[in-house]
Amino acid sequence: MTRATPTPRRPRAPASASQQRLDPIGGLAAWPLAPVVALVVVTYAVAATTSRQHEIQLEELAAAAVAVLTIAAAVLVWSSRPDLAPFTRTRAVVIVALGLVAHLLAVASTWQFNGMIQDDFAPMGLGLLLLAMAPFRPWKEILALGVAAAVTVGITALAQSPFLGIQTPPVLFAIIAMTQVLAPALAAAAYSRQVVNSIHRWQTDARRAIRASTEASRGLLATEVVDHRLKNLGAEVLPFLADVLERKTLTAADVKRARSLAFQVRRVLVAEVDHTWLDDLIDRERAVLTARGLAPLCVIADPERRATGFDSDQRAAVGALIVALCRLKGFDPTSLVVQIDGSGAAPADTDQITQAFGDRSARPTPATDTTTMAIVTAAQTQAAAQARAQARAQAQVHAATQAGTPATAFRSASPRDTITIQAGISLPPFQRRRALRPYLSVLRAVFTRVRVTSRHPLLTLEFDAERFQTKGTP
Amino acid sequence: MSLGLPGHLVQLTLARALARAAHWFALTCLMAGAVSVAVLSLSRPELWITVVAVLAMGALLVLFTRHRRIGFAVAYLVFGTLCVYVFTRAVLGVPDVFPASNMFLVALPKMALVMVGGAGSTALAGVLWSTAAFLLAESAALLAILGTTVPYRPDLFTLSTYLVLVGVMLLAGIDRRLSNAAQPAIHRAVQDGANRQLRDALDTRAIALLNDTTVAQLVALSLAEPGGLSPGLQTSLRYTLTTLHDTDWLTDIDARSDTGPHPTLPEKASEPTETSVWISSAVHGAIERGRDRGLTIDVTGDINALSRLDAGSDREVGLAVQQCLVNVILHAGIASAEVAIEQDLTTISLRITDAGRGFTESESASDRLGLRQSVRRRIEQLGGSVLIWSRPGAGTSVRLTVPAAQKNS
Repeated sequence: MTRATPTPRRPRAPASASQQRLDPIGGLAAWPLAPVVALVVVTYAVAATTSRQHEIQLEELAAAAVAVLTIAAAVLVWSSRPDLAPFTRTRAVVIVALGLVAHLLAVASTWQFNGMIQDDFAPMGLGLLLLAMAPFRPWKEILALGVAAAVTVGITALAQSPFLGIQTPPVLFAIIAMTQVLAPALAAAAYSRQVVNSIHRWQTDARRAIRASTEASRGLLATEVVDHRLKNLGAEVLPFLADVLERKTLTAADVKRARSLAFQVRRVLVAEVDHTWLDDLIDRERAVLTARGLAPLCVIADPERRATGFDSDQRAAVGALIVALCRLKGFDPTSLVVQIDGSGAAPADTDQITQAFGDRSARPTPATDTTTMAIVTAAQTQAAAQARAQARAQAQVHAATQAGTPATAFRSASPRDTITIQAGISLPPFQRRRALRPYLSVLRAVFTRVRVTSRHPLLTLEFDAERFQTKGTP
Repeated sequence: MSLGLPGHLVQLTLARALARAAHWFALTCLMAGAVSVAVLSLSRPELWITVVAVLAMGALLVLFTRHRRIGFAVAYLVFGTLCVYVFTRAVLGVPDVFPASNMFLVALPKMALVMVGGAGSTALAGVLWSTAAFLLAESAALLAILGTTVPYRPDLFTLSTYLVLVGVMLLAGIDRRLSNAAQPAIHRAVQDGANRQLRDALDTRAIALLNDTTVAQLVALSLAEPGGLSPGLQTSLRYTLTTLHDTDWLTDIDARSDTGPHPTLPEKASEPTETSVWISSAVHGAIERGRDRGLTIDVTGDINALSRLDAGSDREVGLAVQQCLVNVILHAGIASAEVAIEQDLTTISLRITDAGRGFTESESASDRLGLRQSVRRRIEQLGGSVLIWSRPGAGTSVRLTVPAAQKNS
């Protein structure tokens, strides 16, 4: 690289990015901050209230103030729980709003009798609540909430200034009260901004490295693909063609043979075109399990090939989760079922032939064909058919158990895929949770409505993918 | 966005972010302190020295956070302690204003001083720096308070700030054992995904190519009359076999684009005329191969438009047209077709029409591979579109539209 070459500007992190969203596992590590802060806030509120009883005029209001602040702290703890991720803007606004209500109640309870602004518990409580949001919310939002809270607190301080015990310019009280909110809020915003930028920078570099290493293996992959294709073509087709070319004549048997071979090769190719990344993934895990001396039966039920609509992040999250499940101690190799169904049209694949051909679901899926193909080994075919049959059975059971709940289609008009992963894992619930927690946190960052239910030893994970009309990732 | 920080970057990143947070906390405290004492000094001019002290401390803080050198940290610590003394002494020295020493205003520079620990590179270093700052600040303040008439009360603000900071630093410093296995797994999954994507792209090409060559040959043989092989069939059969025996056919596909599919092409050394552009185009090659198989193909429209396609697009369009013509041979039940070429400013369209029996649903189901892989995916990868009109008994028309170089008028 020459000196004149301008260094490429790194893309900026999106404004909505937070540590939790960009690095869910890191966000997971930050979560104990919230309960600790909540405890501090509540303890301080109780201590400050009991130590200033002579200033309190309306005890009910004072008690209500402590109660509301406790609720705010509880909402903070609830919102930051890893299994309820992501921490949404609504939650942040609710927490700050509750904190402000607590402040107003506290001010009202000591109206005209407040000795000093500095030992009001609510401004500091608000500041700490904002501080605890640092790993979960984008910096601009923390800043905006902090400024809004500080302004409110400042105004109430000004309003109280005529009755306070210290004789200084009223603006001083406002500054004191606002600092108690602003200092932690600005610290939280600065933390959020710095962490998000660092993570984003790393992700940009990491993606570049991944692209580079993928490109580097292009030759190898191409050779693999060619070998695979030629092997699939079988021992018959090429010798047959060479033979015909050599003889330079065509018999009636040749014509018949050519027709049957064409049919078979096309069958295989069609089946391969219908193969998705999810099939690949499961195939590989199946091979790993078989190599370990187990008899895996992993089922994919994705008749509409909805998996093709997933973006690369979603694929990575699901892939890592499935790999983790399959390699977990106590995993039952015959129990894995991955099912994808959803509302809206299936992902716009390139195979949509125009309306003239009618509904594409009317066409039979190639996998249901039970022809004995010379090219695909009989065992593979059998396993595939068996797997599909079980998937259908599982899907029926699933549909039956889900009949009571309203269909997701009613929830929104946007296309949505629902992924269900079932696996039997005979591990104590605590160990299972601990092992899967990081993967679930990543899942929550890229999917919506992640539900985990378990009926020992069966673990069921359900999550939704909102599909945006993108033309695939480059 | 699931690529989280790897283990070796976590500590560094968190330390930086905590330093930034501590910086802003301290700066807010110092700004609030400066404004407060400035307001106070309006009525009590003797307080101006506190404004200077706080501003100087702020300047040193900015310097320290910009450069993060240990020298600046020590300077901030020493000078800050001095400022705390001056500030406390001057503010609490104002008669009859403050009832006790534990004023939030007085705590502001002390809290800013404690934040020096946030810039520590490790949790332990940070805790040590903060503790030193806390002890120095409290001692300086105590010394200053003793020189005033105000009664001493313990300053809980600075103490709690110190405790919170230390707590956060320790929390951030705890090794994230849980994520150790998961983070590399996610990373591997992303890499696998990228590999699979590339592999799929290569596979798509491979399938399309196999469909164009092997399947097309088998189909041609199955439709041929028993007896001697026609010269056209022999040529294309030989071409298929040499292509597939060459193990690099997938990666070489780009390099071979100019020479490959024109085994019968007459070489012309002259400068490219309009006719030679047409003859050397892959679309022409595809039409010739269709004619080799006994199809009567009328070419209408603007054949020179094809010169606007680059070599890659030309090859892909040629293969797509070839597949459409193969479909006519296979399904239309008719021996003639028409290829019409049109162009506008930014695109070129080719319409392949036959008056045959048209598609039916069952046929399209078993034979969608050709249209799907060899026509639609190809054209869509070029950024173009494919429209198919067909009704049983009413023929088929396939329209391929691809972007092309701007038309020079």
